[in-house]
Amino acid sequence: MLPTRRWAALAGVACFLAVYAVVLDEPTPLFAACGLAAWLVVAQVDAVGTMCSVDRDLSASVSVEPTSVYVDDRAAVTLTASLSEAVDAPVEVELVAPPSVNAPERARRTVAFDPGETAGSVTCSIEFPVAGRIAFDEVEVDIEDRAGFFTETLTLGADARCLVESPAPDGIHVGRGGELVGASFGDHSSDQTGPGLVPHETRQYLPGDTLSQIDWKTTARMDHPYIREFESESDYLLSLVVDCGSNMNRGPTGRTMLSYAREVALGLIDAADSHGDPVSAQFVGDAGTTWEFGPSSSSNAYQTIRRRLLSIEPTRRSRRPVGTSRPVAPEDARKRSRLLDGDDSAFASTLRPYLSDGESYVSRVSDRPIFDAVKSACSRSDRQDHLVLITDDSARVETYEAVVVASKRSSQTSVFLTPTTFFDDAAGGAGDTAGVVAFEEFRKRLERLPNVTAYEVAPKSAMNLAADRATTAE
Amino acid sequence: METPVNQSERTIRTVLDANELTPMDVVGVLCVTLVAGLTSGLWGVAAGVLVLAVAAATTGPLAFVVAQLTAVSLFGDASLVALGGAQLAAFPLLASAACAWPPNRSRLARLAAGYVLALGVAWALWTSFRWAWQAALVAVVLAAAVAYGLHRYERVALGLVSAPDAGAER
Repeated sequence: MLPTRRWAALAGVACFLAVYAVVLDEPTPLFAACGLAAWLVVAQVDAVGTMCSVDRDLSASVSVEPTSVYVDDRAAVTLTASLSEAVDAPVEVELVAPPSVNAPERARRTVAFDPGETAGSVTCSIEFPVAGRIAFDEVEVDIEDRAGFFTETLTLGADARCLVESPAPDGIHVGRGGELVGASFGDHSSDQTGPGLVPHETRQYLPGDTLSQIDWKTTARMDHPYIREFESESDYLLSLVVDCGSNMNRGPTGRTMLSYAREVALGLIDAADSHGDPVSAQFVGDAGTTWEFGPSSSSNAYQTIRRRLLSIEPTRRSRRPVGTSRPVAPEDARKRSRLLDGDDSAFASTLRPYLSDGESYVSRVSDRPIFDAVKSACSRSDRQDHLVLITDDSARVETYEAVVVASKRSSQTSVFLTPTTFFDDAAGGAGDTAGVVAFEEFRKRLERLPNVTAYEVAPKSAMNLAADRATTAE
Repeated sequence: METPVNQSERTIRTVLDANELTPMDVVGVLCVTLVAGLTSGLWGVAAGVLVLAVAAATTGPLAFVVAQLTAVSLFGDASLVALGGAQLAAFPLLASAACAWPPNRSRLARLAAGYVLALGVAWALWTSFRWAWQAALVAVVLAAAVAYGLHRYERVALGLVSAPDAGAER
């Protein structure tokens, strides 16, 4: 119980009167001082009663909606307080915000009871800049007595929690047709012998083999000179093409398609780093390549690409869609169109518009960023290379044509696709069945190209949900 | 059309509106004037007018304090009956400051009981000790002790006293 300035002023007057009584040697000021003291004591008795009744009758609860958010998101926190019996003193119930949140000023998170009121609530918007399990487990009750001589602060318990997660992908599925793939990039066999450390085979000595190649133990065992051959070491150039266009910005904060694509790219860079393979990287925005690097196998190269990957953001301009997939080749179109010349039947007039477009279908995608980036990545390599394209399935024609080029010019091509259907708000993050089927068809179509492996990259939870749905449908 | 009121008039009116005299103030002023008038004649009536002016112009217990100060001047050599009468006459002024109008009866009764008890204690102290400073000191200590006791009671009743504090108290 803390006395207020009003109490201090009155107590000061009482003390002054007591001293005045001593100075005058008269009892009257002492009586006045005792009268004022009586008032203060009676007011204190009243205040104790009020505070005890508030402590007994007040209940408060806190709720958070939603209970799980990402860093820098906001949640609505509601404080509800009620008194089972009205008191004739002002009472304020304040939501105590943990230090790690950005809460509004005190007045906007306080329920104020005027004398006679019994219930109230307040809702405020709170920002969570730090990840973790944030607890709203305390409310503070400020009570002032009716006369304004004393104040008291009580603490009531509350039980509201909010899980604040960092904006990073959680549980990544990388697989083919729903089947998880453990590693897509690791040791690569060259199928060639030469100097190296990995034993390949032993064979009989042939004229021309050097003495140092003889395996003496095998020779002793077989009674003939034997040679041990080793697998020669080779390095693959990893050419990374990452799509960071506006189409990759789908999904909730921190779990966008680009976040998943970034994790895959980081994994590939780590694998290349551990094998000492040279790398080159190209980041492709909506208007074209936004950053490119390499090829290089220096330790700085891996670090530079990692840093850049962690800082990329999707570009903002929307990409122009490419028309229909698998158009008729222009040469075929022209040939068939010639056959229809002079034919006035309904069949010919219906078919003619479909064959009138003689533009090369390659020229339709040749100026597209992904196609352009893949083409330049392929032309840069003068040795065995592994082209990795990380994108989504929104621009299927462009992606398909780019992969066609890569399959012809690269030793090996891997395509990591994030299914758009899993990141659409309309599908609620679980993907609609038609979207999943269309994606899988597209992935399989890519895999039919030579030297091409296509993977899906998606949230594990969404994939599990889609798999459950498919099982139920069966 | 509304006549404009100048700033000084508005201020006085605001003050008077905010410090409206309650019936208890009126009773207090009348009682003080009556007792002082009976004891000191015109000077007593003048003291009553002064208390009325203070009661009208201020809030809080200032009218009670002024009434006590005028009593010091007027009742210097007065008898016990006159002194007691003056204190009881001033009570409505204190009650007006302590309780809103209309007053809560139980609160008013508690205040009256406390006031009478305090007067009794003050009189007992004044007559028991030889020197005025002794009586004043004991009165102040007594009031402080009661206030502190109530404070500790409140802390314990609300569960705000932790175990180490409780040990220290023993």
